[in-house]
Amino acid sequence: MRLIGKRFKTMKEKEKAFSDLVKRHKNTIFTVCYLFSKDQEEANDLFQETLINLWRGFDSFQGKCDVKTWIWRVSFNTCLTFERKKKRHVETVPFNMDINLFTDTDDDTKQIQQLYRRINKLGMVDRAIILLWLENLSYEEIGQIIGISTKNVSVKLVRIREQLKKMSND
Amino acid sequence: MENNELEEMRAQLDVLNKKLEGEAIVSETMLSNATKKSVSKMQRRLLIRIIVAIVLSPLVFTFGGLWILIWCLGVIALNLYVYLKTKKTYAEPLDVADFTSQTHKIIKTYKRTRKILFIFFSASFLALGIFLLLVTGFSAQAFSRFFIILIFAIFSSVIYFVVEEVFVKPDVELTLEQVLHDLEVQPNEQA
Repeated sequence: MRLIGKRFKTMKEKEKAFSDLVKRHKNTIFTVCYLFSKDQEEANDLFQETLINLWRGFDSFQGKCDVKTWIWRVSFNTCLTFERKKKRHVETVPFNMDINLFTDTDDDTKQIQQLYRRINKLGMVDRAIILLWLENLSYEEIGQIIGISTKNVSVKLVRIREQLKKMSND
Repeated sequence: MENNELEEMRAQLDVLNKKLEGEAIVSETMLSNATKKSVSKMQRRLLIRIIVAIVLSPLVFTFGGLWILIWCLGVIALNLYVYLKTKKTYAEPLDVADFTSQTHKIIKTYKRTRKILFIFFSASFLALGIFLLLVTGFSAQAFSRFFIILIFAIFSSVIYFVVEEVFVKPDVELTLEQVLHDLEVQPNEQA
């Protein structure tokens, strides 16, 4: 993905590259927004806010880390800040989706909702860590994204597992 | 937490990813909203400033006289200029060189007019003081009135300056400068 970090000759070229990037990583952005929001509307707002932040950082991203790592980081930061602001309302355009993961009742969505309920019981940072761990990212990558040491990641993961275990027993 | 439960969570995440794969999620409007958001926020604030200035101008005229009304109209004209110019500049994706030269032009005009308006605002008090001195004669009473006006002029100019530097300048100049910075195109790199 060499379009990242390069200088664009026209605005159109930059917008096209950004559009391609977002479409390629839409699942990652959506998953974070979904797991950090309480309903479809909030997920929608978060998604838009993340897109704005990605656009703002699009040129200054130098490609020092993986694109996906950068997207994870921007998405998490947006969700964390958004939660703290709680929230100035922004005008948003609804998702281009036929499904609603908050209200649909088919079997697949029920499974996703179970994941949502489990993860949603955790704190904000823990939510991010477990999500990245479930995505099979290494401790080092998780640490890079969240901004903590590898050792801290492993300690936190142990605690999160214990927390999840306790919750499932309750 | 049993390992199989964690595996179950991982499987659920896979289901989520597969489900999302078939969805478009992002619309073109969403994307264009994201790319234009920073300027549109500034434009909204410019519009609010214009409306407030228009609403307040009769009041300003009644209490401050013609000079202050002229200043108020200057503020309206400046904000309107930046609003219309940015609206036009950012309506269509332009060539970067065109885009940056337009943005530099707006910033330059904005900075210059802001200075003129500030000087005009401060000078209007001074002019009023001198006018009163001339009309009422150079008596001790007239001089004391002149100094009161002068102190008021300095006081209100300082407040004006602080408000401009803290709230107004960052809003327009810094937003536009951020746009240029985002594009990473410096003035001397154009053309």
